[in-house]
Amino acid sequence: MDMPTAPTTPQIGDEINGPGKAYFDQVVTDNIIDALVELSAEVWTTRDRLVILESVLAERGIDAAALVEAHVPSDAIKAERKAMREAFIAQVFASFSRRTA
Amino acid sequence: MTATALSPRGAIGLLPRPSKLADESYTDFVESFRDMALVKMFPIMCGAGHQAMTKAGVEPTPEVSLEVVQAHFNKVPVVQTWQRFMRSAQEMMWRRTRASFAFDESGHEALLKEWELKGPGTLSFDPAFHVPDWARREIHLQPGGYTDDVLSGIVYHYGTKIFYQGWNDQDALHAEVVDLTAVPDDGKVDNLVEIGCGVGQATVQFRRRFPEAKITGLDVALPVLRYAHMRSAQLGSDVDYVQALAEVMPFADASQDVVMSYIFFHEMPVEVMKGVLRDVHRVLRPGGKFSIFEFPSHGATPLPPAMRFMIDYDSRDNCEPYSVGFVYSDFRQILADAGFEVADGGKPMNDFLQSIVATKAA
Repeated sequence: MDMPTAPTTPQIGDEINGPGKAYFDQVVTDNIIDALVELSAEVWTTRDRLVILESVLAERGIDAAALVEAHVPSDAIKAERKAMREAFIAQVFASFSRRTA
Repeated sequence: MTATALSPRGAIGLLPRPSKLADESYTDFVESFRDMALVKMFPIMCGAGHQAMTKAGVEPTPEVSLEVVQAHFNKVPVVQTWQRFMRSAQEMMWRRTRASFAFDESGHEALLKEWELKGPGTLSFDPAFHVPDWARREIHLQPGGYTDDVLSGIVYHYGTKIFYQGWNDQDALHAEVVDLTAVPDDGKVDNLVEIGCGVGQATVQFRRRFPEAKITGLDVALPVLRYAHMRSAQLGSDVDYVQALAEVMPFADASQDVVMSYIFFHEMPVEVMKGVLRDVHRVLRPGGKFSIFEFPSHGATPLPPAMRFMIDYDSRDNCEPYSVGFVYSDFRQILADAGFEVADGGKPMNDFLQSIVATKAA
C-alpha cells in the first residue's frame, strides 16, 4: 500500500505558524487582509468588553464613562499600557514579517 | 461538569468556556466572520469564478480540468479574497483557542491523568501503541492534530464549536445522529461501538438512547480519548473508550450489534478506509447495522468547476489530505465490495452529510 508519510516528530502548530499561504499576486495583499481581520477581531473583543464592563458597573450605580474621562494614569499604569500596546501591534502586524518574499 | 483546570471561567453547559472573556469575544468574532466567508461569500465566489471562465471563452462545465479551473479562478479578486478569509479565520480560531486553554497545560495534563482511573466508564490504551504516520497530521490546521498535543481534546471541542457556528454547542448534532443510528431488525442492541469517536460527544449520547448496552468509543488518538473519558465520567456517563486502529479492532468476530461513524472516513487514505470496512464487517453480527454519517462522495459524478475548486482548496489549505480521495470515491460500491447491503439512512439536519446504513447479511 502506498501510504503518505508525516514527519515523525511534528511540531505543534506547524500548519498555523509556518510560512502560511498566499493567494494574491502580491503577498502584501495577503498580509494586509490578515491584519485587517486580526484587527477587526481585536476591535470586536474590545467593544464586547466595554459593553460588558459598562453594564456591570451600571448595575452597581457607577457611571463608568464619566470616571474614565476624568482618569489620570500613574507612571506604572502608563508603562503597563505601553507594553500591552506593543503586544497589540505585534499581533496585528505579524503577517508582514511572516511572509516576506 | 467541573471546571477545575479546564477553565477558570467554568463551562457553557456541555462546552468548556475559554479561560478569558477576551478569548471568548475573539472566537465569537471568528465564528461570525466564518459565517460571512463560508456561507455568504461562497456562492459569490463560485459565480465570479464561473463568470471569469465564460468571459475567457471557457464554458464552466464539469469536463474542464481542475488545472484550467484554477488558472481562471485564481485570477479573480473575490476568489483570492475568499481563500484568504477562510485560511485566516481557521488560523485565528486554532491559535486563540489553543492559547486560551493552555493557561495551565501541566494542570490540564494532571487532570486528564487523574481521571484515567476514575469512572464511570473506562479508558483503555497500550503505552506502546504506535500511531500510524498517516494519522499524525494537523487536520483542519488544529495544532498537533488529534494525536500530538496534550490539549487536543479540549482544543478540538471548543474549536469545533466555532466550526459548527453555534449549532452544536450542546451536542445537538451528535444527539441527532445517535437518534438516527439504525438498529438490527430484531431490536437487540447489547454491544455498540462508535469508530472515530473523537471527544465522545456522540458516545455519551448513545448511553442516553441505549441505557443497558455496552457502549464503546474507539479512536486512534489518545489525547482526544483522554479528554473524552474525563468528560464522560464527569457527566456520569458509563461508556468505555479504547485507543485502537479501526482496521484491527480489539473485538471478537460478530460481537457488535451496531457500529456508527460520524464524519470519519474522509480523514484517512482510501486504502485504510477499505481495511476499516472489512473489520467493521467482521465485528458486526449477522443482521448488525453500520450507520455512517459522512462527507458526500461523488464517485465519477460530474461536478461543477467551483465545487471542484472548493474541494481542492479544502484539502490543500485546510489540511484535509485524504478528503479528495474519499470525495471522488464510489463509497457505496466500496461498502458493497466489503460485503454490506447498502441503503439510505435517516437524514440529519446538516444536509451536507450523506447518511448510509450498511447491513451485514443475516
